[in-house]
Amino acid sequence: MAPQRLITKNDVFVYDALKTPQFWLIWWVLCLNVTAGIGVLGQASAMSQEMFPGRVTPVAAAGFVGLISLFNMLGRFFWASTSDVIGRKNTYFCFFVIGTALYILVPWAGAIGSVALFVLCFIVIISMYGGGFSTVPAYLKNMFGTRYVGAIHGWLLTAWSAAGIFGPVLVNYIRQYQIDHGIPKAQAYNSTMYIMAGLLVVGFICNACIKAVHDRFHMKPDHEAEDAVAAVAAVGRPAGT
Amino acid sequence: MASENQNGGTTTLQLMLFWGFVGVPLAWGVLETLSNAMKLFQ
Repeated sequence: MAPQRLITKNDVFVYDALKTPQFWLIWWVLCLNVTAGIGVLGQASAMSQEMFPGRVTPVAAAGFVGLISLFNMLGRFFWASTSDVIGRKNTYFCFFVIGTALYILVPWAGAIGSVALFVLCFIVIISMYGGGFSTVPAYLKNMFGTRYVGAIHGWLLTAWSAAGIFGPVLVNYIRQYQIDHGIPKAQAYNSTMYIMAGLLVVGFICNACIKAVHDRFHMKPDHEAEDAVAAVAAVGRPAGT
Repeated sequence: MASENQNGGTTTLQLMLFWGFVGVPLAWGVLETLSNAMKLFQ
């Protein structure tokens, strides 16, 4: 049974949602989760060939890209369905804990020359990248209600745009910086992986800070608003009418 | 003959056709992807 405490029955107006700390915490949760995944997606082919020179051919690297795309898709079904059972917040906790552990494992997989471990780490990481996208609309619905969830989700997707800059920049520039400073290509991604793990720790903290939205942000039910309008109209009505 | 929905909605034949329209290329893509991915372990 999903935890009920973070599931509201109220609605929050879109521009009021932007004033809540919960919106911005979820924004960072999504941004950090996506940053970790999108950087890998963009560099998967080059990274696999450089970490395993001579063992992963360009054709095999293309197969690797296809495989992680497949798990990107499967993760969307799997993690969103899982979140219906364990709750949205707990699902993101899974992403951040498992993701951190796997990013730390990647340099070790490279060091021991295990292609299988490397592939396993990234297919799980990418499944959680896809899972982050499919879980977040339900997370928003639980926090802010259904009435304006479409618009709130639209605002939240700016986190994806930001992550589209952070992810590839982190992976590419740090790799280049490492190579420029004499680090072998096979080890040039190690620092990036540890930085990604660090970002996921920050994401974990943001997720842990998410509590239910304060009552003052909740919209009044329509009948209450109508009653209030009627009461105001009654006061303004001339006496004896 | 495909069973017709009483409300004049989608028939079983239409369902099979449209699921096939998506599912067959998807299945082909998945098989190709898995076959390429196997080269990682050779």
